[in-house]
Amino acid sequence: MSDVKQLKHLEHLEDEMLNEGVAGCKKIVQDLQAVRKILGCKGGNAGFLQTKWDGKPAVICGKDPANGFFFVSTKGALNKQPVCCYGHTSIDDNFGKIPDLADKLKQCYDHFKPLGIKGIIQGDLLFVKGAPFDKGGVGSEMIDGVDHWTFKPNTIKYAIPKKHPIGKEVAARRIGVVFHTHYSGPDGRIHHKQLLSELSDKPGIRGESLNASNTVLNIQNDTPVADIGFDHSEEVMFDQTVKEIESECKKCGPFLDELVGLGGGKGNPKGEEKFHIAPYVKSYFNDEVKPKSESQVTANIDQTITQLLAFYDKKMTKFISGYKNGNTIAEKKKLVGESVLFVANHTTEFKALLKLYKKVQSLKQQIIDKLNPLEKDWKMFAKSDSATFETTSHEGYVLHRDGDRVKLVNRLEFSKFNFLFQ
Amino acid sequence: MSVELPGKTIYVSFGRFQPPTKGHLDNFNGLSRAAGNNDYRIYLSQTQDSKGDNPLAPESKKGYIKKMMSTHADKIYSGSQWNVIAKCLQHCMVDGYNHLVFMVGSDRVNDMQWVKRSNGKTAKDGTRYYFTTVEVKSTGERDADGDDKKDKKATGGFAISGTKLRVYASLGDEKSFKKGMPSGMNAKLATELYDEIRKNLPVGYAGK
Repeated sequence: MSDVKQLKHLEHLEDEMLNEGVAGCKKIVQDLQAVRKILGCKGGNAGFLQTKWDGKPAVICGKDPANGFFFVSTKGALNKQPVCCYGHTSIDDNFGKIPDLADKLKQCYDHFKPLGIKGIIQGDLLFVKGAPFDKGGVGSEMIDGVDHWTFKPNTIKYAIPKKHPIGKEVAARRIGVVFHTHYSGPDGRIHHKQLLSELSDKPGIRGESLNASNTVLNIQNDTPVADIGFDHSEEVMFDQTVKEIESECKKCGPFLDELVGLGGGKGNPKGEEKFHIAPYVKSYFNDEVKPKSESQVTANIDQTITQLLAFYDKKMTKFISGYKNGNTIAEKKKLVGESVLFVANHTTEFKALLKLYKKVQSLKQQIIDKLNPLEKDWKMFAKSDSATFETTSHEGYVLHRDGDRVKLVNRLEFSKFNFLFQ
Repeated sequence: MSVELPGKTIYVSFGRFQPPTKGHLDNFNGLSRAAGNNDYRIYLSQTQDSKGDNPLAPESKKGYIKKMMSTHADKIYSGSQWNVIAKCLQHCMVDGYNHLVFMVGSDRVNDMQWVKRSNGKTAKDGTRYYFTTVEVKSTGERDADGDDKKDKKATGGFAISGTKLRVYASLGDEKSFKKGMPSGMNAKLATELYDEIRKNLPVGYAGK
């Protein structure tokens, strides 16, 4: 899974093959097998799933090992030069230029400090009372004839009936948050004066026993998988597809490794790798789900290859337009042209790769579809245009296995909403 | 290759056009037909000499071609920066074309394969060009720039060639010279071209 020390970025399940080649393929199969155990008839202890909440901002808080003071911050706390705020003045000093964020961090400071956090934890903010609705506050709305509390911290608007126990808590509390991660050093502890940048993230906040609070609504995000499970026919189908994926991984493996060797696993290629198509396969898949993309998500593999090449060509044309000398342009164009021919000469391998990628995506979607009804008390909406909200589902789920994690997200749907108003 | 390769294609021709003839017009029309919806360009050689093989100055030649073959006027490129084929092709590459089809008369396809072989390599003058794909193709017509004597066997002594028209001009045979001009060409313009060729040819030029 993703080689992350700290929770800054989670990888999509299907991207692991592009990131790590054969090793990534193996991880995908192992992850799917873990999900099978978690959701299977017999259950199992292969890992656990957390629901991804679309909160904002991400807040990191706890006791600073450097001085023992309680601090709040954003992901900036994990920087080599950590940004930690120990009170309102400190928040103004660091975040005063972004007043909305500073106000939220002040509320976090006031309400999270009494929780008695002993270590360092991370959460996503869901709402802050007093803020306007469009800045992360709480609203009231009739939905299907039922009175709901609503809040929209980021892209998704969440709604919970006012009479639901959680709805009553929304009414009573000042701030809503999903704490989902804690940090510790290599030995599982945080030592005095240990640098924040040396800490690693771990899922959940199980080690923390937070003080009861009348002002904080802490939403539990462990996905309640005990409530559901595959039936026998679903299990058989799932197992069969995983086997197919495993078999296709073996076929695609060497080519995937070749792509990784050519820079495929890198998000920010340098030197000659910058001109090879390998690093752009992953960015193509991120692009094709955007509403303004010139590509279309399609099951047609030939069309996908054509779109991938067009996407790459457009990027390269832009890069090369920065050069003025004809001979230099020829040199760069040669790298690009050879890369295009690399695809043309490996169409069988590319088609197999794309087919495998889409098969993993499809199975992932089946898992998401199975999990989505679990959070049945909540309603989720996202804007489909400038005015209309349409029903959606949770942002996705995070699978935790052997200390690693990977995200299961319906990229098409979530990305559509996520990018629509950027 | 079963995938559709990205990028624009350019069809290119390069020639001496000393003088431009109705054979050249056939070549240009063949180029345009082959290009279809793609762009095409015709680059003019910049050579002028007093030996009689290249009597027209580049600017003058460009002026005649634009008037004589007006449907191709905006496809004509002439300038000292494009004095050799490699530089013309680099110009196309810099303008954003990714695929090249280099079109020549049917009799010169083999001679011009070096265009393909030199793709991505540095020429003697230091010029480098690169296209993802390069093809050298025939316009479907004999190259009107070709050497009549050299090509006689292959072409059966095709009637129109630059060499032949220069010899007609040298001999003062205006009538035969004008037979080599595109049909419908302005008679005054044809006379101007004939006069200019005659003026620039050495005395006794026989095309040898």
